[in-house]
Amino acid sequence: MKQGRAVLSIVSTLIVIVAGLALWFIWVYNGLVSSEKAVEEASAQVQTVLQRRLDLIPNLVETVKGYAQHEREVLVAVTKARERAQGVLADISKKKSLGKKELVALMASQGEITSALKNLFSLVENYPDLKASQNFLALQDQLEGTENRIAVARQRYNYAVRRYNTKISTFPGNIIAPMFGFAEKPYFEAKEEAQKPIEVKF
Amino acid sequence: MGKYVFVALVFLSIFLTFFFAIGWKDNVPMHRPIFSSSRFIYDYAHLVSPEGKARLEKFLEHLWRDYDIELIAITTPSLGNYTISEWANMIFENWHVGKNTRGEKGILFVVAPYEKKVRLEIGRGLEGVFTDAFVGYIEREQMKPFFEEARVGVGVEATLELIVSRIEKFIKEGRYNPTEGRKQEGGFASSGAGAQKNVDIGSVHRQKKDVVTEDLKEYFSAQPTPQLTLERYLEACSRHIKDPNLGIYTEETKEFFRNWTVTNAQMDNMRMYEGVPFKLMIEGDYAVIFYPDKDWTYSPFFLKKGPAGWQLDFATMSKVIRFNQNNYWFFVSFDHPYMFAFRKYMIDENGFVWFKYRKR
Repeated sequence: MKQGRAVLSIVSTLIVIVAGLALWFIWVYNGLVSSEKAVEEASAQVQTVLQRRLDLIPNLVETVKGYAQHEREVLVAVTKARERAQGVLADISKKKSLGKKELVALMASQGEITSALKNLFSLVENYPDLKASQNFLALQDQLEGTENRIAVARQRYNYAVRRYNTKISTFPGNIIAPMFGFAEKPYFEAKEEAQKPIEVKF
Repeated sequence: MGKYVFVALVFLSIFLTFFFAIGWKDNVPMHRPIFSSSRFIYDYAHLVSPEGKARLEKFLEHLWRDYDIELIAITTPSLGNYTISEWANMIFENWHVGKNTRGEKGILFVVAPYEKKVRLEIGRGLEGVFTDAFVGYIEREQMKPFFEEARVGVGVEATLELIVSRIEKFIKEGRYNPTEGRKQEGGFASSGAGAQKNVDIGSVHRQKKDVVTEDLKEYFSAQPTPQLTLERYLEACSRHIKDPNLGIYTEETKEFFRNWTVTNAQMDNMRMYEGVPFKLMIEGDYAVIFYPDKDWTYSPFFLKKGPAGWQLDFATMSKVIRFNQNNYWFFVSFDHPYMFAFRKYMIDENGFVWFKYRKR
């Protein structure tokens, strides 16, 4: 009787420990999953606002064309850069998470647009009627607003990535992460130059 | 006894720790102040007079009650090392602007006089109503001219008027419902919507108003009928003609407009009167054009007959007509020669004329 009781208590202690370990394991795993999901949501938001920026460009090109038909070269450059960026964005939106390679391509294509737009806006200086038109002013507000949304979404993406990366590289995440293939995620580090919002002085 | 004093001291020190633990940055708290005399206006840069502040508080209280919009206005002596967009977004999230609404319907108005920047940031629940283009437009065409003349309180109020008329329009069209709204996913109050402008407060002594050419002077002279004069005025508005010396204005009105800040946005707003059926009443040298079939956002026009023809009497209108928080007009004085037109209508104790309901 006495012996049986001792065995029982050892077994039950073991069960409690194993159950505790399992619960802890699940808790850590869920933590990793939810922070990975936060990264995915943030990256979806980045893609949404980048698409928003691309959607504004045809309208802008049309408006500028109405006043400055002769500036073909600059307008074509903007349209081309937009097409390329649209291609990159379409490829990426098929994937669930952003890898280093995708992010580099994304940043490069967006940087191209930024510099093409910069040329466009410096050209606008020569057309006072265009610069003062309500349509152009509205487009400029929309574009600036979108640049700001991109900055905010990018910052939130990086924050989510930082939390996730910290989780998988520190205890206890670093034990569980390799078992389920949680890998480090890249940051969206735009070049200072490329991310500066376009500012047109009046 | 000593024990109680000790316990009291412990509690006091805990309380004080929390009280002073609120982070401050450049004299602006990083979290919504717990104890504050105001709910909506935080004038850390001291730009608004106490009377102006009280008026704005009342206005914003109504904005919150009637339209479920929580608008917080902050003037700050410094943005630190941040851009105004970064600063506004940080404050927006930390203060959780819009948390007292049915779904992230917050607006943050930031004025940074020393950096010469102004920004209106729009919460996620209002992005559909106040688009970036609209916000940019009211900043540029309404707020900026007032701010440049150092009339910050008045400029904020004038900007709020356009916000109200926008929301009223959306409600009428069924595109906004103050009693609806859902909490947004993701836990953020703002995704960075809105617009910012460079504004140098106090850089303009008095608004420059371009003088019109001789041809236009002739065109905008006093007209043989009140309707024609109003028509010319609406045309002047749509063409953004700000010259105060047009013949369609009475002498007192000319003087009034010389000292008045006229903005493109106000003039664009007059578009609502174009083609709207009105009622005209004339008695002697006085005429009133009013809109009994419309709501109170359509205020009446007073006209006076001079030797050259009918002229608009904005000087009297500005003295006796006021607008409330919903942009509804009412009389603050009945002591003027234009009251004859309203004799047969009931006027309530707040000065509202009841066209539709009870006729005497």
